[in-house]
Amino acid sequence: MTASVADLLDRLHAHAFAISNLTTRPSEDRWRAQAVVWPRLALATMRAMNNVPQGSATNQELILVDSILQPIARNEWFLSVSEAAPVPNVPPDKRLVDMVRVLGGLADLLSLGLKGVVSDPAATLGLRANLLSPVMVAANWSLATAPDVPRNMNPRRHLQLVSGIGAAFAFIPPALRPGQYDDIAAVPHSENSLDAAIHNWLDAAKDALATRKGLSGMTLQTIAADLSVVCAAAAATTNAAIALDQLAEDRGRPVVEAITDANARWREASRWPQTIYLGGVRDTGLADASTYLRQTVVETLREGRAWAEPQGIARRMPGQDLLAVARRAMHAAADAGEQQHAAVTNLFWGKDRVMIASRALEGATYMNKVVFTARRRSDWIPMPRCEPTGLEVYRAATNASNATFIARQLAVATAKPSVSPLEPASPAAVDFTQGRIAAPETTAPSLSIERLTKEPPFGMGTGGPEQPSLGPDFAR
Amino acid sequence: MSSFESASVAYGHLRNAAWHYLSADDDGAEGLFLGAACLDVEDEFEKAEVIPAIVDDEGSAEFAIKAALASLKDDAGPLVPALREALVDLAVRAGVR
Repeated sequence: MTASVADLLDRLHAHAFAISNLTTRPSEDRWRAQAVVWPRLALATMRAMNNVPQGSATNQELILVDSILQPIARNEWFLSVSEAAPVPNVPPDKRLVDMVRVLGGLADLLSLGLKGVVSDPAATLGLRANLLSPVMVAANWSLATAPDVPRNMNPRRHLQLVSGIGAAFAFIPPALRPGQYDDIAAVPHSENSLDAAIHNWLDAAKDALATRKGLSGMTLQTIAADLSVVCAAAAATTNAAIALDQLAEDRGRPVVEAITDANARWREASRWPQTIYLGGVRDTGLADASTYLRQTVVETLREGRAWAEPQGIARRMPGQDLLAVARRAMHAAADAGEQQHAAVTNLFWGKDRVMIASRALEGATYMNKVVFTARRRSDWIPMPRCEPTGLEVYRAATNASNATFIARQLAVATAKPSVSPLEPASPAAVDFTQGRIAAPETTAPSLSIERLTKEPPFGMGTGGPEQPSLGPDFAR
Repeated sequence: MSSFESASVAYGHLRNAAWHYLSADDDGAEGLFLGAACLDVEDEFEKAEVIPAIVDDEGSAEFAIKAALASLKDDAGPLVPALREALVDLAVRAGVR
């Protein structure tokens, strides 16, 4: 089954929630058993945090997290090795062990990154919050179970730091945490799903475009037509998500329009004029992947000769996030589109390999003996460079690639929360109020805030302050 | 017309059919899938090392497929049965036959 970053985060947080509900009686045996897992947990967390795609700037939060987790990962948090030795026959909690596995899986997935996507500081921060919040829960639980004895003082201090840094990230509201990196997924090739069909096709298309045997017109036309199919599938899936209220109409409609435009452009790029020809068969792997892709799209998204109803599409894709599937499809389309464009550029601006119908050549410049002979026989001849018909094919591929890039950017934006995004705060940002430095937005409490703190439940039945009258009473 | 020439003409008509399908501006996108199916059949012609001929446009994809089938109709070359079979499958799918 396809496992995305979002899926693994669900599992990580579920484990953390289960751990948070466990009893917290101090126990030396339990503590020792957990202490064995912590170095691996710290290492996996560091790997995951470091693999979160980020901008080029050095990230101070990451340096801080690293400095806190490093001593634990290197097992330097116990003063002597014997103190860290596990107690025989007491296994560590299986949820804690699974958290290590999940964090390792997340680190591996995140290392794939998103090619060609501009890093988003808000998404980076949100993802880090999602990674560190469960680790905070684990640290709190370990702290609660660790007996308060002198030999545990050092490891407890380390865990307090983990808890502290985790708590700082946990303050970021979950609604603001989703982002583009949640879509990164490991897709099994053998799976019978739209994701797998697109993934397999992408691999085959890239292999075919990278061939040293020489590209054929069939390969280029097939990939362009398939790119149109992929875009059409993404548009249909996004449409279904809008109809099923998984995406607001005003956010989703421009995305569908952009993807539909990319679809039309690739369709244009897939049809070569009759007067242009580049012989050769297409790669066998591409032929199989292309057939499978179209078959899967038909089975998943179509009903007869039209697109299926949104409810039908959702039924055929159980347990899958429609928008995430659409975004992954657009990532694949952008990736393949870029390479297709490069291949077409090389072909039409490189050596004379494309053939043109001799009868299509007009203009005195080309009229020599070879062309005259070819025209008499209605033969194909090598297309001169900058021939308008050839430029048309090149231009179509360029337009399609650009449209796909734009559509992908818009689709990626739907991964962001619909509420206002997080603004990365400058560490130096302070307010200067009445000649004094203050933390941002720590102004004098307004009347509305004052009233709020004095209204129920603060002032009712809780022994809170009595509500003063705002003005003198007047007798009616 | 020799076997190779008739296959060339059929290939030329098939290319025109693909052009028409991939140009169709239909909401259901059926033209896209039929155009891609035309490309599949074109690959069969390439495997048979047939070089397309420049032929007159029949005006629509359906007529182009019919013309392609017609040009292979009376031919008995060694490769023709396989190509004709691929074309017939396409014609059935496109509702031409």
